[in-house]
Amino acid sequence: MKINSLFAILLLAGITTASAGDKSEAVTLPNGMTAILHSFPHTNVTCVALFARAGSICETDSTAGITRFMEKSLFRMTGSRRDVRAELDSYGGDFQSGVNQDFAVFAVTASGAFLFPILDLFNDVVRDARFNDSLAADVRLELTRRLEEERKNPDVQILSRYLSLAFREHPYRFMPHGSAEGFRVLTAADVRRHFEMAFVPRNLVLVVTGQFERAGLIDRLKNGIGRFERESRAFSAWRPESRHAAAVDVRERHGFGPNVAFVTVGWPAPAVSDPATVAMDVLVTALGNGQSSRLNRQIRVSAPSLYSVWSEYRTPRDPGFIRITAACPPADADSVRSAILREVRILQDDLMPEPEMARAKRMLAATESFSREGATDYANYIGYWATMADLDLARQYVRRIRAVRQEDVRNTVRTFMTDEQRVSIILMPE
Amino acid sequence: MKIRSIALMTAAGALIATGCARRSGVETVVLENGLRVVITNIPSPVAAAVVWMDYGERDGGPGVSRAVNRMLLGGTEIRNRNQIFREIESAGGWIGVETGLTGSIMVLQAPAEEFTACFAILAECLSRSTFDSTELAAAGGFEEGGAGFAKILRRKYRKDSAIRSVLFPDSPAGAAGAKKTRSVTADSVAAFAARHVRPERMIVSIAGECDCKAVLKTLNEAWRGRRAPEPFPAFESGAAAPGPVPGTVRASRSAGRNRRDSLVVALRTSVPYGPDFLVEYLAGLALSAKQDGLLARAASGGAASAAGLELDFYFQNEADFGYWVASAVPSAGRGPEAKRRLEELLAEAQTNGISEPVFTTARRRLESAFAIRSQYTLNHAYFGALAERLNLPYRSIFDIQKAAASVTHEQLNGRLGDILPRMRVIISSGAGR
Repeated sequence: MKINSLFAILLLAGITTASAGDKSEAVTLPNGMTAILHSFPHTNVTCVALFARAGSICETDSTAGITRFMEKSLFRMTGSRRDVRAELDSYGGDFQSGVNQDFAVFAVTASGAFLFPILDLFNDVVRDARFNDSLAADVRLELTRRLEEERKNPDVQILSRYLSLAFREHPYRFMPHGSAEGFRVLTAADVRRHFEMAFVPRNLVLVVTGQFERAGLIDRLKNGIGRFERESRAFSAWRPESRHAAAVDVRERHGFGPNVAFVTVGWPAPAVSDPATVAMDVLVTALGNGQSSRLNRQIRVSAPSLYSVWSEYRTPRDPGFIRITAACPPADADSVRSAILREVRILQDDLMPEPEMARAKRMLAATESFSREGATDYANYIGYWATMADLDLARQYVRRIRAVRQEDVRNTVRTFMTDEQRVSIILMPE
Repeated sequence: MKIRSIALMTAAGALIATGCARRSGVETVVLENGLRVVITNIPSPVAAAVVWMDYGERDGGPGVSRAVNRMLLGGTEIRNRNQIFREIESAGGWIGVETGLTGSIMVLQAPAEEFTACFAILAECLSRSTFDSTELAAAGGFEEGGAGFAKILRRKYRKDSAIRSVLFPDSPAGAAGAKKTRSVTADSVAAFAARHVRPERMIVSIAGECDCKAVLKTLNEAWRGRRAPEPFPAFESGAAAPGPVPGTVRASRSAGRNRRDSLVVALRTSVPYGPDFLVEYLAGLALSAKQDGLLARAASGGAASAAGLELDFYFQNEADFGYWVASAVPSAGRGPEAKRRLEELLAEAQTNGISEPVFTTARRRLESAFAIRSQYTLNHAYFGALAERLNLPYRSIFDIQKAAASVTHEQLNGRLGDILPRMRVIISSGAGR
């Protein structure tokens, strides 16, 4: 699926489309935790990725940003290890972590020779991670610095505003990035509580890809991380988002210089397990993926000085959104917005031409190929599916994409991209 | 020693290859038109091609090589710029070109099933580019002044020119910054291209699962019917030795506005990935290890743990030269003290050597570094081109990984007397990381 998510700022950007997974094996460990194994016998690299179903969807007004705070606090120290990162570094392990609206992920890639010591380290972290005030102070400082950097990114600002308008009740209204105000009040005790709720066996998916010996690995998992227990405590329930009664169109100011305006127009979109997801993937790819996409070609007819336009579709656990964003000279902002809406109306009325459908499907299949190239990418990709839905959807994905018909795309546009459900923002220079 | 590969000759058709070498699962073919083709066959859903072109910013007038490279993708006798990019994009691939100081590379990556078609477009760009002069106007000027290499450094240390001026005092790579020139003319581009963009001046390296027969046929036919190659100095494999390196450790302090200093150690290495290089690289990994590495010990100020300390290590290279940079960010105001401590530790290491545990950590880090790189076809293709260009004893990432695993503790300590004095220790404020 086309996530391209700013949410998943970190390594998650690549877990987009899916299929394959045919050789992936799902194993249920004694504690109920799911492990996904996928061997790349020709490599000598291994990736271990741990997914926890806890993202901004588990947050409230008083805990917004806590998942990111937890993400940055983990893999630091345990009861028996003062410096987990240094130990990973001593194996040459490339550690990456990320958080989005639905989950947090921690991944280590290293030579296959170090798989077992790295698994032991994951085992120690899930059982016995430690948090203290000194660590919380370090993390707070690091996150505050990162937020300063992110504030310089216009799309982060646009997205944040978009979420606040598109989701009034659902926790997807929170940016997983968190906020400086939120980070100031979060304590080590808050993070520990959040960790203990998120890191229960049934809430976790462990993925191992690359070089390994299957029987030995399964034995290690079953007798190691597969035996940790923690009492399950549910996160607070959230309410589903209700539909907007009418379009929301706002015009505001930005501080990113005098020569650029940003236009973003979005609509609700299906959740990952909704059958309409694949048609929406084809649509979003045809609309705004690459220089040859429909919006890149058509909008330039009425606004030749358009800087860029792109589309994104978040496919989260709950219904998400599709969004089209453009950067253009301020004088062109209104005509760009009109051109976007005109193309959407055309797709409501007419069938998308077959060559355009074919191009989109080809690009989605290519994205799937790139996701399978390396052990690291594949761990993220297959872990996404196992965490958000199930492996079967991954296995069927490319076949489902190929089966999308022109009528399916038109129906998807008609169902989701209606004027009443539209949220648009024009940001003009101050 | 070159061994004729019957298997590949059969696959490709004996007519098109005049010489073929096979080492470590990597095959090299020299076509009749002088083009060298390196093929690394590894299972992957993605295939990659890297074309090494033996010219860079040091060649031609200011900005000319950059202009040529832009125009290589600017249009052919068959396709214009938009068609080139759109056709490859529509297949889910991408193409690009990068100009370095001593060489240039064109890169293509595409899903394996789309690769042959995308590669035909790449070959068309190399052999049938029209070097349309309107591209010059569209570009609006080209960077000059060691831009390629210096740009990499600027990306890492945007506000700090100290590192490159210390590491490369004798090279354009040490230039403070690039500027744009508008002096490039269509005539100078055409003359440069006619001289340099020639099959005998290129290496095409391909990695992944692709139709080798089709690829070789494409390359063989790309220049068919064109005028015969003019006599040209034969392609010289083997890199120049690194330039002179001042023998004393010295410190620089750059102007900057960042609140915290970075303690930086940098080394201009021997020929990238050559036998001498591996030990130099290992020394960098030992220095920058979080557990008991000298940099961590110096920057943490004797604290029991270096937890939370920001440490970084990276290596950048072109064909003829490379460098590594290790850095740490000590607590505020501790930069000069950390530097003094590091210099003491380096002096101790020169006398006593690097300890066995730190060596073991460094070798593990090296093993993982190459394992991680070996995941991607693009890295294999790049390494294949580089190995051919430098005539390295290793032909693949897997080979160099094996070689790295055989470096001993004694070898590392035996080379410290040469390596440590060549390291540069720098306090860098305004590091811009």
